Amino acid sequence: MNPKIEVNDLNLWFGRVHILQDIDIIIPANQVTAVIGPSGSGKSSLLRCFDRTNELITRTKTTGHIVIDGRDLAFEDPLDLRSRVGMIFQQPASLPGSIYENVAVGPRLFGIRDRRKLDVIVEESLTRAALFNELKDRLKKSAGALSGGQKQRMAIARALALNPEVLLFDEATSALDPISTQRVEDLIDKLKSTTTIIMVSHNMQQAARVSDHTLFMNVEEDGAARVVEFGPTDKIFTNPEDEKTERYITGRFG
Amino acid sequence: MRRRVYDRIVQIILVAIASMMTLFLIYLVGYIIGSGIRGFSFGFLTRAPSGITQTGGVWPMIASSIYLIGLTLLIAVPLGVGGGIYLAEYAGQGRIVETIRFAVDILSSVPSIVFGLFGLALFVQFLGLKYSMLSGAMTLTLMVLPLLLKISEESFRAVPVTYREASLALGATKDQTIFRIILPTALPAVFTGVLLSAGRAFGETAAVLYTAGLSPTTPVFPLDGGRTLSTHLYLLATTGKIEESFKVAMVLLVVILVFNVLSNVVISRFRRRFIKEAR
Repeated sequence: MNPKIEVNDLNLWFGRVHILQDIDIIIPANQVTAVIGPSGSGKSSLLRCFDRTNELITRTKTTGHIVIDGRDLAFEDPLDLRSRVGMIFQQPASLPGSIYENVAVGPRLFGIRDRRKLDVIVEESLTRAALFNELKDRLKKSAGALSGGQKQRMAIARALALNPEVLLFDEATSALDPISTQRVEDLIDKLKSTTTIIMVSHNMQQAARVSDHTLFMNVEEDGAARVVEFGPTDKIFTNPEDEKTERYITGRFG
Repeated sequence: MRRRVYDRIVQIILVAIASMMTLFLIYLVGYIIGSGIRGFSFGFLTRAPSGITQTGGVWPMIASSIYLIGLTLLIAVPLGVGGGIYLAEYAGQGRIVETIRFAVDILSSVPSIVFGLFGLALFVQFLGLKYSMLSGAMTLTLMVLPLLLKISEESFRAVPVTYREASLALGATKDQTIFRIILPTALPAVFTGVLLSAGRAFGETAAVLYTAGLSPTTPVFPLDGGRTLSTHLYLLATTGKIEESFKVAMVLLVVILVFNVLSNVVISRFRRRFIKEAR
């Protein structure tokens, strides 16, 4: 198991509010790590630490380190970092314009203008997102007409167009129907051969099905979120060490 | 039972009021077009007025109106849309922004003749721009700017936050996000603001009368004066040429109706698109 992301003693504050406390984890490369925990337990905030988008929203303070492939995020150009770490949201955004434009938006932001290059990137990304065959005849049509599930896979293709090393899924299937959810899960399974995936999920079955490792987070009395337990998914779901973990995954709290 | 009767009565009264409004509108439009169409020929639109009575054609007035609106939009749109972007995306919150908003609200309720007087003093006299298209356009700019600013700001704010998130998560800068994602999305709504402004400028009389002048000639340069359709109408009506006035009124009315229909079409398209997005 190769480590991809090392989180050392991470603390995060929004203004004066302590959000994450003493996070110490190692995310393995080319595997799926699920982040579970009750609402408000800092799962999304942790996810946003990996592409440094927390700092866009509020005044944040961070201590500790996040290291990806030996490089400390704090010293990286955040824009460059975000191109290497893709984020998939709960509500997929279909931007104005065609499906093609939607997928090409990332490469264009980073200055790729050559039409042939873009054509290749768009086709490859849509193929990787298992969407190309479905949509190849209507790439120039508006993306607004796609179904929710298609939009979500298009959003994945959009992230893939930048060829990211890490993909973050922030409750990416909680607005989708079961069949679309199944497709996204299959996709995640395929994508882990090339990327490291971290997914926040409220769906215990999903976390158990899809992930290799599971991180259970919880909020303590003082309001800051901590890691309760982190380990192989099998172990977390069958034989958790912490009593809180067991109560959470069996649905008795949270 | 009594409640149902009461309900019915209220309904009848409301329907009556609404139909009265509609009937009145139809009567008004019908009356103006009916009076204007008498003796109207296509040549009226393409000829210049002649003789001491200044009748028989409105071509220079149409040209002046179009010139004035074009010039006004040329100045007002960059200012209004730019200001809207600033207020929605960069300004944040604070005293200064609150003051700007307050000033804009006040500005939008100032009577147009006051704008005319101000334009006369500042542009025509103090800056020496004479009675000209440029003086008129700058005055009209001041007048339509609050509307344009407000509509632009609201259009930018109406762009779903998910668009912003998606763009920023791809590594876009704030400027890239605003100009490549948010601006194109907000454009149809901004466009309705532009159409409404153009409509207002087109119908405006008082502010133009004091700043663009009354010369019944076709303007060529920005410092040329000119007489717009609405000021022409004002002049004809106040000098007793009622028949001719109705012809001009008809032209004005038709153009404004077209403007309104056009902006309604754009608004409804825009709404439909966003409703689809929200689902």
